[in-house]
Amino acid sequence: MTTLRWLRRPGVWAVTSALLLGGFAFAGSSAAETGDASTQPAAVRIARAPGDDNSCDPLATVAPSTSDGGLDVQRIIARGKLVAGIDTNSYLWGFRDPNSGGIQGFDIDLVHALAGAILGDPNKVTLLAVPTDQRIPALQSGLVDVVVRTFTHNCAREKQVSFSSDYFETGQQILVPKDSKVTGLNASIKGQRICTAKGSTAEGLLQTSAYKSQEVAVENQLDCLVLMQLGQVDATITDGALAAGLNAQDKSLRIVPGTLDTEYYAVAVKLGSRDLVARINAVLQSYIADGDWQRSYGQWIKPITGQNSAPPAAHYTG
Amino acid sequence: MPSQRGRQDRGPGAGGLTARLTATPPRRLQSGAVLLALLTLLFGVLTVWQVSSRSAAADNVVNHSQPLSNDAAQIFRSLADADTTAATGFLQAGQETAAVRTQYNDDIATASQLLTKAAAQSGSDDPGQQWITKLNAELPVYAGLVETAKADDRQGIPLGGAYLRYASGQMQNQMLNEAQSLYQAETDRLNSDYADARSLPWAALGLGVILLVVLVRAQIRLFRSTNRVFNLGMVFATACATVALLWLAVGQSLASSYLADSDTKGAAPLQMLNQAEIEALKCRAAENLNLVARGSTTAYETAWTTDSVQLAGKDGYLAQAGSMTSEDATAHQAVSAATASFQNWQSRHDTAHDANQNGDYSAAVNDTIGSGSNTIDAAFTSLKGSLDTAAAHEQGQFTSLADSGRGATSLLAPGAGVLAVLAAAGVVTGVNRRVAEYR
Repeated sequence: MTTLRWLRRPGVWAVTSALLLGGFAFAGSSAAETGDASTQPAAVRIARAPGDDNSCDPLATVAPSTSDGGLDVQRIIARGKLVAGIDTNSYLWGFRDPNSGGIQGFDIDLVHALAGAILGDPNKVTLLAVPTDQRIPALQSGLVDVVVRTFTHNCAREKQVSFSSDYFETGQQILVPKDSKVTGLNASIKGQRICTAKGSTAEGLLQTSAYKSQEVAVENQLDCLVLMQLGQVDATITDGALAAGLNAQDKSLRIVPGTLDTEYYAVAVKLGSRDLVARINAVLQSYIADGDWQRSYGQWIKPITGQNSAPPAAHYTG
Repeated sequence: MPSQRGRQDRGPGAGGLTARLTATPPRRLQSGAVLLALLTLLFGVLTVWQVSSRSAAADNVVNHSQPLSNDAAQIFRSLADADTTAATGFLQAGQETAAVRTQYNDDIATASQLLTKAAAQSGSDDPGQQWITKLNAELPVYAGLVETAKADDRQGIPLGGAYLRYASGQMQNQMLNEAQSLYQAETDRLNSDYADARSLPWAALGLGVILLVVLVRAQIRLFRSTNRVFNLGMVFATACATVALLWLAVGQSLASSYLADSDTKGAAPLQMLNQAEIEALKCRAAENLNLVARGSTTAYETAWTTDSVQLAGKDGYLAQAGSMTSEDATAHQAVSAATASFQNWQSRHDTAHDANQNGDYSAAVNDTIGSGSNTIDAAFTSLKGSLDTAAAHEQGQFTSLADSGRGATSLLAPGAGVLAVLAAAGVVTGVNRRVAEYR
């Protein structure tokens, strides 16, 4: 049975019989992104980030209030948790210690202070890691109550979200290897490969600069450090505060002295949440007055920059 | 055949040789016999040549191109697995388990060994060679990046995660594409060897039919001119030629049929299963890297969505593997089990994703890389196990069917050669008898 199985295989009979029948018959018959960069005055130092329309005073904010009566504050109190959009990749600002698993940094201290004041317990927080380009959508959709994530307060963004009083002053800076000849955004940087984060202030700044050369845009400023270590870029431009964080991770780099502009970080909330902004401003006021701001600065930032600093003074508009 | 009159007309004008070969009836008979014997031998030579080249192609399928294609798939798998495992080890941070570290090291070692082997087995003009060279150069660089990532992570700085994402980017966007190209090049060669081995030897078959026609016609003519019905030599020659032609037709179509089956019931589903496993590894890597990225990008969530549809969507690799194995209970069951495992995986993935969305990163990491019976890891391991079972079965099917195919023609070439020689001898002997009668 097995030996004859091949007889049942398809094709075998067809080809064979056709050939033979045909053969004998034959024989038989016997035939054959950051678009709207403003034009900066040439004489003075750039006072606003590109992408900003200069239409507002970024230091202006709602007068502080300790009232918990507002709708937005009440929602947080009813939930019993403050949901904060943060970064876990910015060394010194908001980062996860891989060994302990804890999230820490200057921004994180501020989040805990907000929860402590509003809810009475600094640990009543939910920390949500939010990508850079998701900061505004996360607020708009109500995914988070606040964004405390080295978020620059500028006029263009004021049309999409509301900002608290500014809690940190910084400016774009250039990070280079120690032996680099770069002295600033001038002729010395011409021809160098410069890394910036996509959609960042630095990217816009570079676009409008006369000294822009070979830009390399990456998703996150941290990726610039990888590329610098691998020798694929020669310089990185990013917020001075973040540059300090990068420098802290690689001591063979240096930050070129001087900033390219002035920027302020603020806490962002959903557009129009005046009561929450007022409440946050009150927290910031006491956070600064009680010396918590300086304590946090001394713990995270000062050891790296070696410089003293103070929070910018707010312009309360009532 | 030209008529008697035509030959006479042409005789004087054609000159010496033709005239001498056809001068007398016995001469004519002898010349005809020589031509017929030569035709028979030509059939033998053509058959031996065509059958041998097909056997060589079939040998190539079994001994060369299928193993190379399978090795290329294994290189692809090892690289994808290394990327996935590196991310798992990274997420375990300081507590990286010995099992994970061993698996990663094995993946790198396997990929490296197979690349060396593939380089040795394919010539310099081989289309896969360029990919082998590139992968050989990139593999140590990748391994170095992964080690840097781990070292940075142990220092407690976020740079480690960025390094791992960079390393994974090199793997996903460059090395895996090259491994895919290598796999494609080897599979193309397998298919071309298959086509060579399966093509029917039409020239030999055609000449065989012509030979039979000529033999039968010659006997009819001989009968008419000598009034003897059977010429034993010619009958023997006809029998030999018939057997040779039959053997050729049956053997070669049988081989072709077996080889076709070894492809559709072995090699082709095996390729689909390989694709499915690689896609599953990509899904797993995306899931791990999303946690490594710690919210710095949404790219990995997008990658999970795309890759999981490619794996288990309506026209995904699992569905295709399911329909390709629909007539094979063992393989089909294994594919169904793999599909069920993926559904478990998907629901556990959603749970982990929700935990991460709600800010519970530790729970998300535990759900994703933790061990235990109801974890993502368990679902993924069981999916991989089912795919491996199905793949081993298909590999067995391939080998047995391809061996049957090769067996069907193993004696054909020498056999047909001997039969052709015998037939030629029969023709000459048979005609010489008649020629002798003229003396």
